[in-house]
Amino acid sequence: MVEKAKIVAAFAVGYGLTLALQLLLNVLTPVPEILKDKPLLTEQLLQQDVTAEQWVNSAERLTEKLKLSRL
Amino acid sequence: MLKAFICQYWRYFVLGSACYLVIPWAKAPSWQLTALWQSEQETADAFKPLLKFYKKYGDAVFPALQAQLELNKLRDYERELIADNEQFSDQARDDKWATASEFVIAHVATDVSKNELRIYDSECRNDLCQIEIAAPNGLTKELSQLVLKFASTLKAGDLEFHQLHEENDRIILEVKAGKRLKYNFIDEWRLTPATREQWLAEVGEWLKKQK
Repeated sequence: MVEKAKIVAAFAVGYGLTLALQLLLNVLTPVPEILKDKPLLTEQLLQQDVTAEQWVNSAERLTEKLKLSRL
Repeated sequence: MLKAFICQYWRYFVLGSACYLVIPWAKAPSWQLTALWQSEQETADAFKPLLKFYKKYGDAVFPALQAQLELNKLRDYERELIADNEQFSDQARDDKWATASEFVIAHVATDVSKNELRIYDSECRNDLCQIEIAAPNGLTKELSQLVLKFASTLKAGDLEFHQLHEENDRIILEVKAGKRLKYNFIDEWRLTPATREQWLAEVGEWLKKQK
């Protein structure tokens, strides 16, 4: 029983430490200068693991839909 | 004591670490990582259209923007699936459609060409059908005319000419339907998540407000 608990603990420590390292790297990763004065937009952008191009495509698609809805 | 623990259980420690790395759910988004090796100017250029859009519509656009992004992801995923099913050999069988189409092909082959066209075999899968037509003398003028007539009749039944290639004593005619591909359970589930309707509603609501 103790042996199993130690195995689980070692697994959890490995998982947790890698996660902690990842979170530390995230904190250290800078936000681009152009987004620094737009905290709300940055917050939204940080929620999705996508490229800048995908965000731009989303904005362009909404613009297209808006144009179409006004026809 | 800690050293002894690590020495004894390091495999499980590595396994835990590897398990996180398989699905690194807390990683920084791609756009932020890309910005690390781009110059500020390149990043600014990449975000320029988005910032212009944001300036015009403000914070109220966020739910619609997020929703549209999710819808775009679904569309991109479906495009990937379509690309994966481009070749006949890549396709799994949509049984209901394939059986019906094979029946139509057999009927058209006997009816239209009055049995002059000899079909060795026909097989339909997801949106493609391959028809093996006997051509002992190659693709002669007479056979070409028959095949064209056969293909144009199939077109009326929503099976468009896709490609044609010759083999030893036969030609392989491939026709394609305009139907939506049928995917396996997991792909269908990924393409139609429960939140899809909500995303469409978010976009629709924003569009209404802008009118």
